[in-house]
Amino acid sequence: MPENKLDTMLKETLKETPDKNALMSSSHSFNPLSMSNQTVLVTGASAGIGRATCIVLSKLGAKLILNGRSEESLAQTLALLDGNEHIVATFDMQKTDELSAWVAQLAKSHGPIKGFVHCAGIQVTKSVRAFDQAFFDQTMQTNLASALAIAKGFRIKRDKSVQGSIVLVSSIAGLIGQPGNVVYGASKAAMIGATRGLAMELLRDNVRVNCVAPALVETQMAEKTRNSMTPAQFQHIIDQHPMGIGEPEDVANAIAFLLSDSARWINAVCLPVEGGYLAN
Amino acid sequence: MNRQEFLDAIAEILELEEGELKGDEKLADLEEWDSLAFLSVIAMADEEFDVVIQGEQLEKITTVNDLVALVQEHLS
Repeated sequence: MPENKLDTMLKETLKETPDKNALMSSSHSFNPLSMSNQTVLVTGASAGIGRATCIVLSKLGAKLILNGRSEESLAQTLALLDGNEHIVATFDMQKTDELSAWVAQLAKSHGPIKGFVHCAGIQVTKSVRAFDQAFFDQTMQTNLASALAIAKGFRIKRDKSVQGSIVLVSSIAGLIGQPGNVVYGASKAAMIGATRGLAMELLRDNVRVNCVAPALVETQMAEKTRNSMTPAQFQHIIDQHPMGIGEPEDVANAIAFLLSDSARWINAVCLPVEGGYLAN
Repeated sequence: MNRQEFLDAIAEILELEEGELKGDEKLADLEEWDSLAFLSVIAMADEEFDVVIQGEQLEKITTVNDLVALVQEHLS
């Protein structure tokens, strides 16, 4: 009986299928999130999401430049990292107009910087009834202005043949309305807008810019929030999280993805990392 | 900050006149007292005295004097 077309196609397909062993060995070395030999600057590396991000990136082979307020806390982060080529670089995020020169100098001293993650930020629960200029300025400066100033330095004299990646840490507070958290929410919403503008402006520099928007994550910042309200009020916040509150590593993994070459065609997005909070 | 100044700061948060609060008022009876006023007082205590008030303490507060008691040792 003559062979039918389907049988012929099947035979041809089987001939083309590579050796199974070869496939398996190549998949073992396949790491789409690899940051091997890439240098990444992380602000807010002393604790929380910043610390977890450094740990994850170090496991992926990155060389980290750790920035934060406390040398002692940065040293604790450093001790948790894989690899031994990391650098601690303290610098005051309040010195907005000095930040870009600082970043440019880091690149000069330590080689091209592939990625920048902005985890530095402050959150103070404060009603608009207590609003003042100083509170607004400090929140906006630390949360947003410093990110933009660092981005300014990040793009200076970059090798444009290598795609760079910036990930800013926003918050679901920038996507919803929270009483008592207006200024923080505004700074994080502004960050989402800045992500889009920066992404478009830095196209010519071959730099992608994205942000993540975490919900409540188990960090010192969350602990402070817990302490600033009654247990019942805090429980109400937890109850709004369909999958419970997150861990810093959950956000770090998302950041690592957006930084990596796996996300080379993902640009100007805000990625909520919140266990379904926004759908609830 | 002394006791009267602290009372006046609370009065400002509650949109009351300076000197209007004596301390024995029940918070639930004050028109502008709500969870946001509570947060504002906590933030004010944190800024003025670097006092972190534990969540469990907040549940027991029912009067203006209870608020004063939270920062008593820091008042001049």
